[in-house]
Amino acid sequence: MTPPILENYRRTILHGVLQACVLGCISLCIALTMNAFRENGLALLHTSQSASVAQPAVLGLPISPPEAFRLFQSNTALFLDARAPQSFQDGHIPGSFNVMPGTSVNVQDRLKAAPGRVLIVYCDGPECDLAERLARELTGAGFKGVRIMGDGWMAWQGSGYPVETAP
Amino acid sequence: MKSVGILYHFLRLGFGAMFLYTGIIHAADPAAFALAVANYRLLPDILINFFAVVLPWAEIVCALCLISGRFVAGASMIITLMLLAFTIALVSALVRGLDISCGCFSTDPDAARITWWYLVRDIALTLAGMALFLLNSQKGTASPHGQEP
Repeated sequence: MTPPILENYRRTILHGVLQACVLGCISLCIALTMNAFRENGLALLHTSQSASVAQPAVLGLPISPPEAFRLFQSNTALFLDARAPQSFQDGHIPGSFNVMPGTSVNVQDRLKAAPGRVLIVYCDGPECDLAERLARELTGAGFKGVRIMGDGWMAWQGSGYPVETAP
Repeated sequence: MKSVGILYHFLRLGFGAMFLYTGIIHAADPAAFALAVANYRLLPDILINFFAVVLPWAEIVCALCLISGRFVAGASMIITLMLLAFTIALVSALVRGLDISCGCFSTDPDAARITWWYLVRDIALTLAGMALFLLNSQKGTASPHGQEP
């Protein structure tokens, strides 16, 4: 025999769960319908092969350090270091610009003067979002195909690729 | 128990207004919200967009229920679970030292960074959500057929 108070709690929770299920279904239907009809709707299941996913559409495709290094070797990329100036001075990818989010307006002319080169942004590594913020800023300013080296400076340095310590 | 009634309506309408606001903000720019979700680095990539599309509408639907006083039990349960999940995500992000914006009341990636203060705020909101659910259940007990105000 269940005590009345426990029975009340059980009923209350069951009542809440049932309502929550109904509300969840309603929300799901509205969300899927709205997403299907809106211009900036997202691809619902993001896979690495999918072309229309949120992050790449907003920020440009990610790029691995080895791929970035190949572009570095062929001199077809321009690297933008989104870290703080002190970190940049301690070490960075040779030839890169130090551009923190919020300051890209200072270098946009220089970037426009190098058409055809892939813009690769990076910060320390996966734990920081400075590169993503900078990529978003550049994309918003009209730069196409900005790529994010998500593994960042730590991976580049750890792979033994060239580094430069002078500002 | 007039004060309990006032507290109940305060929580119901307060959460309703708050989730309506955040739901509209998130639903207006799903790509930016997806980015805010992705920044927490908790969900697998394949689920991020789905989550970013559905969650804002769940916020809006629950908010409208709370404001109108219908399905308050379900709506308060959902928002409490959302707040609890967000609190866990926040702890995880803070422990890992992620330098990210909250994504709560704005999808701007340049918005204020998360701090331990956000955790205090969200624990308080989670407890308030639980209180709303319990207060509503007391009302339900008073009227056995679950009639809600």
